[in-house]
Amino acid sequence: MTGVLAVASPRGTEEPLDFERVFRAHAAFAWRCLRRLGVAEKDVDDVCQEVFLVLHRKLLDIDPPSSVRAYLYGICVRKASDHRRLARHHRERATDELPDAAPDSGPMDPVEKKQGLAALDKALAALDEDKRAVFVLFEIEELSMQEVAAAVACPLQTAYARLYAGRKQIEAAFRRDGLGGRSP
Amino acid sequence: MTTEHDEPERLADVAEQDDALRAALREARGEVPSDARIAAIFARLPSGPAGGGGGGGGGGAPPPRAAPTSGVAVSGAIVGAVAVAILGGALYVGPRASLLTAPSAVASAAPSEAPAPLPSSDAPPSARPIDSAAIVPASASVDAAVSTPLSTGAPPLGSASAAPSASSPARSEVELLKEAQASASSSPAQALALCDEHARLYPSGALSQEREFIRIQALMAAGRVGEARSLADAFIARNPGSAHATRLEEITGRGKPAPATSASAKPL
Repeated sequence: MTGVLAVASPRGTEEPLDFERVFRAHAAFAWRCLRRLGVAEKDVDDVCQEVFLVLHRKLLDIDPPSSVRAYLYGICVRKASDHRRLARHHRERATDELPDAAPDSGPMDPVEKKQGLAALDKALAALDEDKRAVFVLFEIEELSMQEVAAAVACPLQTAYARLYAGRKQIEAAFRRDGLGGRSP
Repeated sequence: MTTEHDEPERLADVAEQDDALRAALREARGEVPSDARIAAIFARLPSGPAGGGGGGGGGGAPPPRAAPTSGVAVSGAIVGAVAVAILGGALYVGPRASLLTAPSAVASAAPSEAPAPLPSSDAPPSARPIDSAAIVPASASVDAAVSTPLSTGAPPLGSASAAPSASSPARSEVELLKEAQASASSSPAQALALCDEHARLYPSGALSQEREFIRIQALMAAGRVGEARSLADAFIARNPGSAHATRLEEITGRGKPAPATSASAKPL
């Protein structure tokens, strides 16, 4: 028994997607995306589980398999949207615990880090879904703009337009809160 | 036309200013769940062939999934925590088949599932490879099969106790059943109402077996033994291979006594 959940591709042409491998490769990505999409720290594990339940069911539909991250992000958006609709989750972000780890985060103290992330999440929440997706995928997940455009299924120029518009709004939100942001 | 070569510099990497936004972006990049959290999420997922698992019970049940022993650093402690959660009465998902053989999984059954402006979970986005390097080689070998709880105990199952109401917004399958499980012994009427709500919201949800298991527990706790046994019989007939079957015989008083350590499955 290999223990690997090998999945034979129905098309027989692509590298088979293996759920366990996919999970390992993308769990942190999905978890982080859910956080930036407004899922509270205390709920993110459950929502992440739901995301991968959907992915498990749909894994064979992903074509090509290498587009799994784009597909996964789409699921994250839907599940996070469902989650945000739950009124009782609203505004619970303030009680979140600190993130587990923040490598290369410099000398900021924990309170400052928490405030910074909370401000970022608040600013992201004010963006529409399209701009938020582009901003998160490019600025935080560090996808190339080509990849971002593919992930959100829009032309490259549209993705750029969303990025710049999102940046403008995010920077303005930080300036409004007295937290900096580049001057226009 | 803009090309990949003239992509803008990412805000977090702009050296000219080191303000709060850039710091927050760097912080967001570094925010990762611990290995233990990842492992706990993985332990709650189905195993076996991906792709929907077909409909309805019975045939072709996938083998139980074992805990990974490397990669996401699942330690013996994590496996132990899983076992403790089972013994402690955490919402229990027995064989992997209980998730995989459900006619549909969580998201598609949820009435709150709304069309997303982004690539939907039902339709892959445009087929462009964006992450070909991201799928890492599998290195884990798996051996011992373990049953899987829906919750590994954190957060505690009893932490949520809101009663269901027709006007309350839709909750996820997991949330509803966690609450139902938490109240199965102490407030069986509430647990039954939550099971009803789950059945209404997720009529073909991925966790329907777990819902029925909790319903039977709650009926027993409410003293409705006849109904509980009737449902248990029907459940076992429908799901003869389910790991819940033995447990149901125990909690309906027809099998071996339930372990005394169980907090939520009230022995009768």
